Parts: sequence; structure tokens; C-alpha cells
Amino acid sequence: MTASAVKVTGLARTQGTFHLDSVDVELPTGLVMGFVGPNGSGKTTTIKAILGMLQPDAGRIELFDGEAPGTPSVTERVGVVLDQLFVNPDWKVGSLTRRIGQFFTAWDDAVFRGLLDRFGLRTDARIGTLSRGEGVKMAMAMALGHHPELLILDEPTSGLDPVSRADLVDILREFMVDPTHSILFSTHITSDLDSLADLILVIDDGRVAYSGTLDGLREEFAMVHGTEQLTSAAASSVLGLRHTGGRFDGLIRSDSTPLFGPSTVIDPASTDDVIVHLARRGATQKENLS
Amino acid sequence: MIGTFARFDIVNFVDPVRRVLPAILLVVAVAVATPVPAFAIGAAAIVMSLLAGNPFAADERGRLDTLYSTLPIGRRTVVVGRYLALVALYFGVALAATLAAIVTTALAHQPVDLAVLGAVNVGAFLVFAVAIAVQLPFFFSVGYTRARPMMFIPSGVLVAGTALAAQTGVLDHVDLLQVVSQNLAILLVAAPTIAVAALVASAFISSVRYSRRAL
Repeated sequence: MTASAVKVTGLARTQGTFHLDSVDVELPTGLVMGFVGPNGSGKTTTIKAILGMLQPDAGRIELFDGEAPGTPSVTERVGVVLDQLFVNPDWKVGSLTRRIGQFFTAWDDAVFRGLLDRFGLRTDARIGTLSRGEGVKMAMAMALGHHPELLILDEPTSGLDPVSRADLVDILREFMVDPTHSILFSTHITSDLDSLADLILVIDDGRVAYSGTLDGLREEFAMVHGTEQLTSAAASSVLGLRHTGGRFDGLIRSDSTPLFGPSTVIDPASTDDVIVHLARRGATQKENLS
Repeated sequence: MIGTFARFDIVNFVDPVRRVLPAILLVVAVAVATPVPAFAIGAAAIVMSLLAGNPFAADERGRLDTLYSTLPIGRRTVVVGRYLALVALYFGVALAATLAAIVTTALAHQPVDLAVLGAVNVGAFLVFAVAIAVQLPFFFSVGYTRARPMMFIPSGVLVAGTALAAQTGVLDHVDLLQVVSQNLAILLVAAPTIAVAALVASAFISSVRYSRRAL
């Protein structure tokens, strides 16, 4: 068993005006890492680099203790579900065994068809006719059909109804029963992470804002609310500062707490608070620049 | 894995019968409708070079480049497999064109000159090979949408060149049949060699470009 499923060090990539800057990711084998951040923060770019779909400008990416991404021996061990399907919409669901399965040495038709049955997907349905939820389920069956050790999921639950999301989370829990399995899971729906993730990586504007456990995230950040006039030091420590009706609120790092006066209320931050305020900060910075 | 991918690609291309069947019907129609049935073989080269962009269009429509990067195959396998698939499909259509030419000639009670048919096939393969050798590196580099004009440029240049030659009378004093029959041995060796060399060089460039492309 490998010690590390994914190890990314100093990943950098510039695409147009977007810059992914020195991103580090470390996912030990046997754990689930939630990967969160606002739209356009660099999640998909990081995932694509980990999958070998694009070449980074700088940095090092290793899967399974030192193997390069995108090589056949690595992709054989990785199951992938992305936010959009990547199969021909004219194909029938049942034809994936014949079309895709032939490439994987470990393809297990019984597992694939078992999952289709479990999800209630008809094998004679054309992929283009599937709903969003059915498409994600089919993609999950495809990803799990070759017994991967690592699942990489890019926002698979977005747009799913609660029942489909619960089904998906159940499948992921079952996958994690095997201690050699790992999941890297990007999502906007942080409630999925609360029940599933061991680790969380928050990315904002191309930089890692937090990497650690969920409990650590709640310790690292806090929410501030109040009506008092903030000192410039206090104001600059607030991420995504918002003023409404004489009140302010925002996100702070917990070590900034002493900058605030006694009339300021400081509450624990939820995962959503962290993402929302980081996104707001990013938007404000962009407005200021333009 | 190259063979597996080539088979996968052929199945995907042939699957909607609307692609290859019309190509075969077209070359058969050319064999029947034109005074020289062997024109059908040249038509096969033009038609298949025009269709060479279709697998790339299907890649974009189904985001299959993403699929390929999640399969346990290297990008070089995708490139070489696609070249092989296109050449195999061309041979299928060229065979249909050749059979149509033979049958049409026989039905017209004309003698079938197999040497001429062979030479035409070799020349047509050279045209097809050079056309896709020019086209495919663009498709692999930037995808179907951005490289779409390349579907028509090689055939367009060939047709324009032929029309220009006819208009200017450059080839009027040349008896093509005589030239071919006098140099048949050289043609039969040189044309396939050049065709294969063009395909190999093109596949190498495509492989390098495709491996650098962000998917």
C-alpha cells in the first residue's frame, strides 16, 4: 500500500489572467480530502494537473508515492468523475463496457452493471438523454468499474437533488471501507464534506487559503460581527468585509482576534462562511484593481 | 493498446452509418456517372480527407479528449491509433471505389486495366496521406473548432491546382497515361514510400503537439 495517494508541491500555472500560485496538496492513502473554493479559484485547474490533462508551469505532482500523473499505470488506478460527462452522448449506457472497459486490465463488468442496476439506469438509454443526476451516477459506475484506488471527483454533486446526492455520498462511503482507497473531492456543497471529508483544502484566487482537518479549519477562522468603527489594522485583517445598515461582518483568522474591541462578536466559522467570505474578498480585490 | 484505440476509433466513426455509407455511395456514383470510372478512386481520397476532421468533431462534442486522458493509454497511443483508424477507413472506401470502377468498366464492355487501377490507387493514397498529414497536426494541436478550415484546405489546394493547370494548359502537352505507364515501377515504389513517410512525420508532430495540449 502506498503512503501517499496525491502529493503536489509548488504547483503553478498561468492561464490568461488566472494564476495558480504555488499550490501544495497532500492526500495520504486512506483519507478523503474535500477541495473547496469559490468559482474560478483554481480547483479544476489543480485537478486537471493532477490528472495529467495539463502541464504545470512549475511544481511537482506525484501520485501513489512518486509516479507521474497521466501515465497509463497511474490512470489504471484512478477513477475520475468531472462536472461534465466526457462520453459521446450518442452512445448507449450499456455500450460503455465494450467501449471503455477494453482499455482497463481491471475492468469488472459485474461491478459496472451492478452499479447501473443499483442506480436504476437503463443500459439501452442513450447517454445524451440522461438527466444530470443519472449522468453523474453513470460516471460513478464508470469510474468504479475498474477498481480504482483513488477517486478524483470535480464537483460531482452540483446540480443533484438531495436523494441523488445522498446516493452518491453512500457510494463514496462504501468505497472508503477499503483502507487502500482515497478520494479527492471538489465541491461547493460543504454539507457533503462534513459527513465525508477527513481533510479539507481551501483554495482562493489560485492560492491555498487553508489545508488541514475540518476541525482545524474551524479553529483557524472565525466570523466577526459588530457596529464599532474598526481600526485600520483590524479592518485589513477581515476577509470579505461587508457593511450593512451600520453593521459589519467578515471572516478573520483566529490569531487576529486581539485586534478587535470588546463590542465585536466573534463566532466560530462554518466551512460555508470561509468559502463565501474568501470569494467576497476575491471579488473586492478584483473590483479595486479594475 | 494502439490497435485497441484504432478499433475504438473506427467503431465510433462508423457507428453512425450516416458517415461512411454516404462516402461509399458517393464514390460509387462517381464511378457510374463519370466517363472514367477510376475517378472514383481519386474521389475516395478527396472525400476521406474531407471527413478526416469528423473524429475530432466527435471528440469535442463528447469531450472525448478528456476521456482519453482518463484511460490507461498515453497520448501517443491516441495519435497513432487515430492515424491508423483513418488510413484503415480510407482503404475501405478506396476498395469500394476500386470495385465500383471495375464493375462499371466491365458492364460497359471495356477492358479492365489492373495496372492503371493500381497506379491510380497508389496516387490516390498519396493524395490522401499528404492531405491528412497536413491536417491532423492542426486538429491535434488546437482541436476541431479552431482547426476546422484545415478540413478543406488540402483538398481545396488540390482542386484549385488541377483547375489552374487545366485553365493554363500547362499539362496539355503531357500524356499522363503514358507518363504513368512509363514510370509505373517507380510510381508504385515512390508514392507509397512518400505517403508513409509523410504520415510518420505528421504523426510525430501531432504526438508532440497533442502531448503539450491542455485538455
